[in-house]
Amino acid sequence: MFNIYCPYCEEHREEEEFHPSGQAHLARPADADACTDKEWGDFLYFRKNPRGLHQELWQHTAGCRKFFNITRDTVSYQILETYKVGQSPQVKLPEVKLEEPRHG
Amino acid sequence: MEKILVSDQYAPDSLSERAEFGDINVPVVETALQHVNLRQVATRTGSGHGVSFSELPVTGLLVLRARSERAALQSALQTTVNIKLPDTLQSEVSVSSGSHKSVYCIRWVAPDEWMLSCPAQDAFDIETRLRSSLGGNSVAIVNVTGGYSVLQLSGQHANDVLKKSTVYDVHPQNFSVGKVVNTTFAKAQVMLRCVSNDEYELIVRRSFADYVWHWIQVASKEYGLSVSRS
Repeated sequence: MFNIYCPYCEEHREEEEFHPSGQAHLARPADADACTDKEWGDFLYFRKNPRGLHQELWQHTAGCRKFFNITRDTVSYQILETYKVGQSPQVKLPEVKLEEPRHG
Repeated sequence: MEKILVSDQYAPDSLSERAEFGDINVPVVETALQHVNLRQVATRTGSGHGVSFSELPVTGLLVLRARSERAALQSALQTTVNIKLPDTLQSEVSVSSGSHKSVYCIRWVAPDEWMLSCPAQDAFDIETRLRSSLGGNSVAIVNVTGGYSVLQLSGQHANDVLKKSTVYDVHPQNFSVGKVVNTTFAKAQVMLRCVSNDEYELIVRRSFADYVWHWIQVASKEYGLSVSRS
């Protein structure tokens, strides 16, 4: 068990009160009608699964029920920062060259 | 909804008032633990135990939500029930100065959400007055009286029962008088408020009231549980 800092309740709370909601900062294609199938498919289905730093969306489900973001290390489980939706992360993620996802 | 009749298990005679209305269509509101007959249980258990439990009579609960129009809600609350919006994780209590002293309590739920409690009979009236005082401001007011049960735990070992039941740190140093947290209680969700030293208020979803009541019976067994009439 570990404690997570909720930026809305402004204190550390038990992990049990939270629920993860996957990768953060998913940008919906600006013009959904004009984008390619690949762009739309990437937005809908393809998610990062890094070994190391990851930005995730979490919800304080049993508390204030607000969504917020966490920068977390998926290897050590260390939480580097939590920040409100709409704010920018302070911790920069390392550049990772991703393999082109397969389609079809 | 102007006319409701609140059944009070601690004063079962109140149900006979129903006849005075002469209208069987008047809805009767019962608490979630009405069927447990806590009043009878209370006469069996006596007092002087480590933990004391009670279910409050039906309490009016209003959920208030406002984002940018927070100031408008603040002034509407001030004029209606003379209460101010609490800080993060805090609550505010006010007592009306009229002939019958009504207690109002507002709790912080989220940055844009609060829960106001009042006597059940006043809930509709307060809701109406808040609305007229708010005018065209976009503030949401929802009456959730029927959705929750308000329980109270007190006594020298009440804190120990909470320690067994919730993941939140309820040490008085961290959970001081007036503080409100939404957290888990066993496997249920609870809005937990520290009313005074060794006195806690639990607002649970109505459907979880039985579960919480059973849990409290088991969790407080080692300290001795007494049921009190609120």
